[in-house]
Amino acid sequence: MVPRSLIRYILLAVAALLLILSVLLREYVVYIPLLKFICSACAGL
Amino acid sequence: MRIRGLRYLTRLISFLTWCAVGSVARYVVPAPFLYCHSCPLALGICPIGAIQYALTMGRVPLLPVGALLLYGTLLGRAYCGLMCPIGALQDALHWLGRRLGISSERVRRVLSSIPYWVAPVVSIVLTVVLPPILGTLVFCYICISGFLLAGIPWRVILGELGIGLSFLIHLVVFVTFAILALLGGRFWCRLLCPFSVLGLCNSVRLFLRLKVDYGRCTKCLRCLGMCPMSIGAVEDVGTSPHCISCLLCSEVCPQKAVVIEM
Repeated sequence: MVPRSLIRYILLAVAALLLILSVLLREYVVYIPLLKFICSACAGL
Repeated sequence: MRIRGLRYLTRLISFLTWCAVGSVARYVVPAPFLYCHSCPLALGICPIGAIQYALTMGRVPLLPVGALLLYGTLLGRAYCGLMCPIGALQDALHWLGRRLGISSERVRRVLSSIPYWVAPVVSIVLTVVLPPILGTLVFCYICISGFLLAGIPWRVILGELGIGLSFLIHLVVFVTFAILALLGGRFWCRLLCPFSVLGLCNSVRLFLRLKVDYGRCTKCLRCLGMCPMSIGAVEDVGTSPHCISCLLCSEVCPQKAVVIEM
């Protein structure tokens, strides 16, 4: 059985990898319009 | 201070802290709870909306998925019990239902019988599977947070926005879950909330773990009677993916058998 602490650190490593990749690829630029426009689905327009 | 009071304080502090962080780094801090970036005062993005948006754009949502994974590994589903404003609203409605005497044990049994997989499967279909196919943010059409933080405020601010089918769907969903919260508790969290996937990390999370000391436990079941998620067995306290670490079980236990490990 895989120890829980190992699973925990694997998950943390994957999360860190995804976040670092998102910064390196400047992925956050994709989300800038979300704060500039009213989402018709959210606001029920 | 009683844990119940402390929870409302932690929700307020965490919400304000997150808003402060979000105001500095607006596009890179997804909220760890149900939020809406269409709110007139939005200071950050909702990870669920961001996942759908990225998928409809044909992008891989690295940032929101990475953030959710990080949040889950740190605190599991504790954000739902200690931070989420929608959870706080349901808890307040359930408290009101108890005070008014309309809280129903039969409805709570229904809530208790909902299996864990329902919310993650339904929310994954609505947030991951359907948006790229239909090209729209499908989950946002039924999101209570969108209704409360965007739908109503924008109608108040702009005035001329009409009440169309989309708004009516939001309204029906909100009223339904508000009534269910009055009668039984957190139906939204057990049926539809995408943040329920964080429960998969409950047993491996780093902080705020709950453990039952069976040497002290007398099986009086007061912990289960207070549980806003209607967890059905003492063995599931702290370990069940339904557990939101609201800590009420720890507060009501007369033997102090539910131990909080920081």
